[in-house]
Amino acid sequence: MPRARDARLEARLSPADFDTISHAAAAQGLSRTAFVVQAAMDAAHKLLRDQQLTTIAVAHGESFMEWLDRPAEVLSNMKPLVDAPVLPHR
Amino acid sequence: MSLYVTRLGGDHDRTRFDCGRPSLDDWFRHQASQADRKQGSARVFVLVDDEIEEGRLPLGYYAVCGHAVLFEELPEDVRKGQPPQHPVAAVLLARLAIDGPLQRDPVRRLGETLLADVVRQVIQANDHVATPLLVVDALDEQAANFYKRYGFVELPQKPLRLVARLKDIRKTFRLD
Repeated sequence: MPRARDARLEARLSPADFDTISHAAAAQGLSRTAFVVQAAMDAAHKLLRDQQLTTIAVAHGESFMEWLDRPAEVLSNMKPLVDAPVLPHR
Repeated sequence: MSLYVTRLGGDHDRTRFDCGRPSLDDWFRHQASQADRKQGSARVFVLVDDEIEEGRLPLGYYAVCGHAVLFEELPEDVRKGQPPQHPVAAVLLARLAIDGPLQRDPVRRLGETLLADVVRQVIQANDHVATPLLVVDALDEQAANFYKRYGFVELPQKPLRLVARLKDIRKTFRLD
């Protein structure tokens, strides 16, 4: 289903930043608007994905799974949290 | 002084919150309510004091949400028929902040107290829905060091994303 593109986003920026964006957009053969929207969407998707997922390189997968499977142990550094005052919830 | 924690509500005055980290302040002022109430993408809890503006002025906050740790997908020719790894479920402590003047209060140690509350809440949630990991997002190296001090360890190649196993946490809190 086609999505209407009727929302607007405006920004004020320095002439230097404007020039940098213009050059980068031209280098990619995109209009400034298309470039800015694409860059912002890429950043937004990455940020949202990072909030939902942590990706581990395959090279570390095995050691990570081994660590996960090890028997439970006391985290001595965490003891101050055990001893911290209990905050009531309301 | 009567501190307590409650879920962020519309009557909390977030406009004056200033922990000194613009991204944490801006998110709390402008996004937190939307994330919690509208999108349901995070639960946001605030630390307040009954005796300060009748509990309407947040002295600290944290935001938690569901999360997963997974491995980069291997191409099929490398995987050679091995099944893909399943994601490992986790709770993410996405943000934790204390209002500026209270950060260096050596007596109350509110950062530590609020982190302890996070851990206790995650343990309670873990009683009902098992998640093997508590992951924390540190804003910078200083914040990462704060979490390391309490036993969190870096995830491989992710110095600002730290983790603790729930089974270790439960054992530390003498629950298992």
